[in-house]
Parts: sequence; structure tokens; C-alpha cells
Amino acid sequence: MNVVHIAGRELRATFSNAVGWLVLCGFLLLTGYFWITQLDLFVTESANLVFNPYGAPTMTISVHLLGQFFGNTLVVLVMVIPALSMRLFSEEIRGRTLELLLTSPVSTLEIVLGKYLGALSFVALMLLSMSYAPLSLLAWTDSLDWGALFGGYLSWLLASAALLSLGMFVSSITTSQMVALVLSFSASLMLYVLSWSADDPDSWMVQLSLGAHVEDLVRGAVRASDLAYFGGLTAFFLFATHQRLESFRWK
Amino acid sequence: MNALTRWSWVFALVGGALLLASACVWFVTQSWEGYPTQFAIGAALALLVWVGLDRARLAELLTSRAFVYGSGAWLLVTLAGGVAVGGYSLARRHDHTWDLSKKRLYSLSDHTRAVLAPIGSDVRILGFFRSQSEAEHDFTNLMRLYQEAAPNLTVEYIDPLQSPRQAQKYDVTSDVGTIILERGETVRRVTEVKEGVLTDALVLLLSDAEHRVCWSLGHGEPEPDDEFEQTGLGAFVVQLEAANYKVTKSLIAQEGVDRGCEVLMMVRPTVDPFPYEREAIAAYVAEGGRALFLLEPFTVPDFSADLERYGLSLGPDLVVDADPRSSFMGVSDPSVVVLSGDSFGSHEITKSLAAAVVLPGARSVTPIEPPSAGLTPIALLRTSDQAWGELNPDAGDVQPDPGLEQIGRIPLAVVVEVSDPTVLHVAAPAPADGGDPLDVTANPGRAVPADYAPKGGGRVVVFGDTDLLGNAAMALGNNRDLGLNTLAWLVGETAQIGERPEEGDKLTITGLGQAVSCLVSILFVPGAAMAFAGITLVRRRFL
Repeated sequence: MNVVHIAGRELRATFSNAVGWLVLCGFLLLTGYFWITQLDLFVTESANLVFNPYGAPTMTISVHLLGQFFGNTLVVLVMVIPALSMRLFSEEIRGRTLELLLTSPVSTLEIVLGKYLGALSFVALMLLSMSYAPLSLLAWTDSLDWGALFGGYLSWLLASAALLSLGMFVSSITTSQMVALVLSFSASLMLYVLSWSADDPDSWMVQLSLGAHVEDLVRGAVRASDLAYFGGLTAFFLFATHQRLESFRWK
Repeated sequence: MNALTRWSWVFALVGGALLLASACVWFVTQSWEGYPTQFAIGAALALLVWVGLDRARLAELLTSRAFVYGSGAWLLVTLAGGVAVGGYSLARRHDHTWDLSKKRLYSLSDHTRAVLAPIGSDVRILGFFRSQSEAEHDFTNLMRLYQEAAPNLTVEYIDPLQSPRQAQKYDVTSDVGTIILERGETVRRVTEVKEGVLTDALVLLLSDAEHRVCWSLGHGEPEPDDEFEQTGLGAFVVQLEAANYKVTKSLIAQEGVDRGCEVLMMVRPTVDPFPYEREAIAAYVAEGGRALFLLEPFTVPDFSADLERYGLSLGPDLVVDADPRSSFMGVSDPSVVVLSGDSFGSHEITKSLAAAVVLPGARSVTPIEPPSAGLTPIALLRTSDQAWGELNPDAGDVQPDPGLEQIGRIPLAVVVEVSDPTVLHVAAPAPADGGDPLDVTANPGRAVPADYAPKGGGRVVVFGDTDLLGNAAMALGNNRDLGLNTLAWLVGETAQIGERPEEGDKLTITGLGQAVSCLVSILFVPGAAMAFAGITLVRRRFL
């Protein structure tokens, strides 16, 4: 119950702060731009291929529009999530309100989960607010691939959950929001691009890369290993954050 | 001693730096030989000196409350990391894919699953792809599904540019993509990342089967390994060998047609085969053999006439197509014909062709109507209705001559299935000592096997052009696939032909629709969030 209470308070705090709305505005603006460019590209390319006898005219909405859109816009999440997570604990540590929180009758786990779920709820609402874009396709086609759409949203949610837990951990080890922002953005970006320089698809860099684990998810292929990756990454950083907060108790 | 203790941190610093250097060099070279080991030893020595010098302070630190609790926390976090990595490794080892895509992009067919089920660890698949390429990504995805269905299957990913020795070992000369299937000494190769093709190659690998193609020589045909001349077909032969065909040379005049040939190929002959060679070919087809003939315009008139026994007629012409849609881009020569869509006959060979085929100068090949009982000829390719068979292309003004020349949708390739071999009227086998061996026109049955036993099942494909599979034009459009599909159909490997790719999706959005979409995405929706930000800011300032 305490978890829900803290999460609700966190969500309200985000919406009562202009920063939350600005983050939402930035996300919608960037993803909106990605959407119209991807849509325009698909309309042009698919029309051109019909008249091109030398190329195979197989561009599909699920792979070449929705898949590309969800895949490309992950980089927006890499930029936006650290801006959301930077203040989660660093603000509390800097303002010395964390001590109050730790001495209140709630456990460290409840604090971590509550704050995390509050921030994740905001992210989920943010992602949901972008649903007008893929759904607008129904105005022009009746062959929308709901499986691929679900995969795209699942990839967004799982990636956001993992990046948010990473950002929350970074936020718990510094008192400066700016330092938390820079560190979590760098770490998130590194995690995202790690596979770009890998030669072997089985290499550890690919296994660790966030980008590699969403490639097929955005097209509607849900793999047990991808779920384990995102679940493991999220749980690990949540646990690390919990241990970090516990250290404030014994210190 | 005190001075040393005061400066002991230098050893810690050096030790740490060496440890980092060791890790960095190992990361770059992926080997412990040389510097990584030397740096690691140096680091260990420096850290040992530091521990020896600073032992009092270290002992104090190790017994402190911060260290005891902190190390416990670190241990727990490390354990949590281990659990996360372990869980992921386990999930990856026993991976499962839920395919939610409408077109089932991530599902294997039941046939493939049945083939994969009994596969043991003795089968290896090596993918030679350029790193980070789209083809490598497709291959990786397909292999993940294969490994889900066959956990013992070993898959290796190799970049031929980075591992030239391995590429050389398996004779991989392209970095576009080659898949090697290996089982003991047997090796198969595939150049397409398609489930059907790969599964078919796996079936062949497991059954040790190989398709033998006999390449006829002795009538002016190019050598099968001619990869450099424009008139050669060496590049296509490379593709054939990559698809598990073994191409061997065949001299019909001396040896007749080997019954071990699965397909007899006669390409660009410029000299008519002798009558007894033609009978040998007919006997081979009548016994259920398969033959592919690629003939150029205005060549081998006797042989062309002889092919009428198979239910088709080759015109002494050069087909010209005046339809602008049938012209090759940038080429004004109307004898270079481009065919696509409804130009393809309804047949296994053409069903998977998604793009056009280009025939740079073809003659007409027409099924004879009505066909003889026992023969089923089908036109494989047809021109547009603005084509004609030009009898005299060297004349200045090339125009259709109604009544004299064939006009309309002219067939350029024909496939024939022989169900009754008696209609081929093969000459009877001649006695071993029959006739003068130097008289090539006498005793036409001399190359017909003595134990000649006609049966149904023969197949013949005739193209009125050779250049479509030549070194210069094979890569154009779907030419290569047309050739490979033809061979696959001839040997009965229809699984290699695959299915016609599904039609792509097309979105037609009006200018107004795009403008609205743009306004909503860029202005209205983000603008609403911005407005709420402003309201929140004002409320916080004034409340």
C-alpha cells in the first residue's frame, strides 16, 4: 500500500512540475518528427517500388514503418528517461529529505519501488500519448499489424523500465541532478550503441546491448531471452539502488 | 621506512593503472599473450608492495564498520548481477519466440521443424557475412529460430573480411553472404537467407545427395568456367555450384549422354550437333532425363528444327518489342526485352519471381499447337502484344511484316513435360559395328544406349536466349533466380524455388492527410504539452 502511495505522490509531483510537462513536450515533439518523416519515407518508397521492376516490392507497414519508427525512437527514450530519473534521489539527498524518508515508517524497498513505479507510470502515460500516431494509420489502411504494434509498445515499455532503473541508481549515488543526468545519459547511450561495433552476433557486447534486444521485438517477435534481459537489467539496478539507500542507514 | 609508507599510494596507483592497461590490451587483442600478462604481473607486484607497506592502514580499514557493511552490500550487488546474467544465459539457451507478427515473420514451417528435430551436434552452420549487414541480421534471426528447434545445432558467424583464412578454407569469395553447412567431410553452400533454401540444403546435407549437371561441349559452347568473357556463363555456374549442383563437362559426340546426368545443359551452341548426337539427347529425355537448351537467334538451324519433336518451334528470328514498358532502362535497342508480371507463364519456375527478367536479344520459342499426345509444352515467358519476330534485323528499317513475321505476344521460353516417350521417335540403337564411324550422318542410333528403355518423366526447357544467364546480364533483375529456378524444377527440387514474396503494403495518403498528420505530430500534440507546462509554471508562481 505504501508503494502505491509513494508512486501516486511521485506521479503527482511530476505533473505539478513544469519539468515533467516539458519532458513530455520534448518527447512528443521528437517522436512526432520521427513519425512524419518515417511515414513520408514509407509512402514514397512503397509507391516507387511498385514501379520498379528490378527490386522486390515488399515493404510492409509492420516492418518498414512501425518497426523502423519504434526502433528509431528508442534513441529519444535514451535522451528523455535520464531527464526524468535524474531528480528521483539526488534531489532528496541534496535537500536532506532522504533522511526524513528513511526514518519514516516505510521500508527501503517500498521507497525504491514506489518512486520507481511513479516514474514508470509517467513514462507509460508518455508512451501512450504517442499512440495517436500508429493508430492514425487506420484512416488509410485496414491492414494494421496489431501484433507488431504490441511488440513496438512492449519494446518501448521494457526499454524505458530498464533505463529508468539505471537512471534511478545513478541518481542515488550523486547529489547533483546535472551529474546524474550526464552519467545516466552516457550509460544509457553506451548500453544502446554497444552492439554497433560488435562483429560477432554472439559476442558479449551484443548480448549486453539494449539496441540488439529490441530489434526483433519492434517487429512483433517476443523472445524469452529478451524478456530475461530487460527483466534482469531492471531488477539488478533496482536492487543496486536498494543497497545504496540501505547504506545511508548504516552510515 | 616512513617515507616509503607515505608514498605507498604510488604503488597502488601504478598497480591500478597496470591492471587497467592489462584489461584494455586484452579487450583489443582478445588474447592474454604478451602485454596483458606482463601488465597483470606488474600490477600484482605493485599491489603486493602497496599492501606490504600500508598494511597497518589497510587492517584498520578492513575492520571498519563502513568496510564490513559496504563489502557486504557489494557482495550482494555482485550476486544479484550474477543471478541476472545467469537467468539471461538460461533463457538464451532455452530460448522461445512468440511470433505476434501478422505475416508470421518469426515462425518456421512444420517441414523445417521436422527436418531440424533429429539434427545432432555433428551439423555445423557457418554464416559468412559482413558484420552489421542487413543480410547478417536476417541470418542471425533465422538461426535463432533454427537453434530453438534444434538446440544441438552449432552456428558460427564469420566476417570473411576479418577472417580471410576461414573464408579461404571454405572457398568463400564474396562478403555479400555465404552459408556453409558442414557435416563431417560433406559441405553444402547456400547464398540466400531463406528458410526454404536453407532447409532444402540441410535435407541434402543429411542425405548426402548431389545434383549432377552435364555441360555439353563440342558445338561451340563456352567452357563452364568462363567467368570473364561477356559470352560466358561462368558466373552462373558459380551460382549453380553454390546451390549444390556439380557441373561436369560432357562430350556427347564421343561419349553420348551419360545416364548419371540429372540435367543436360547445352548453352549457346554455334555448330549443329550431329544427327546421332540429337538422337542420343532424345533417347536421354525419353528415358526420363532432363535437358536445358539456351539457343541464340540465327544459330543451329538443324538442331532447332530437331527440337520440334519435343513439341516446340524455334523461329529463325530476333524478337523485337516496341512496348516502352518492355525496354531496358537507358537502352534504345528494342531487341533487349524486359519481362515482368503478366509476361510470366503460370508455372513453378516463374511463381517466385518478384522482379523483371532481361533478355538481351532473343528468338521466338513457341509451343506447337495442338501439342502431341504425351507432350505438355507450356510457354514460360511472353513478350508484350507490341512485339514481333524480326526475320531480317540487319535491314535498315526494322518494322513488323504482317503475314510474314510472327506478331503479338511471342513466347521466348518453353517448358515441356514428356509423359509418353514414344512421340519423340528416337532412332533404334545401332549395333556396335554398324556403319562407318566417320560418316556422322549415317547410323543415327549409334549413340543410343543398347539397353535403351523409354519411360515417362522427361523434362525439357528451351530458352530463345543465352545472354540472360551470361556473365554480363545474369545479375540483372531476376535473371539469376529464373536460371536457378529452372534447374531446381528440372531436378525436382521445387522446395528450392520458394514462394512468391508476399505483396508489400502500400499507403496512399493525400496531401491534406499528410499536412494534417504533420500539424498534429509537430504542433498540436507537443503544443498541448507545452501549454500544460506553461499553466503549471504560472500556477506555481501565483499560488
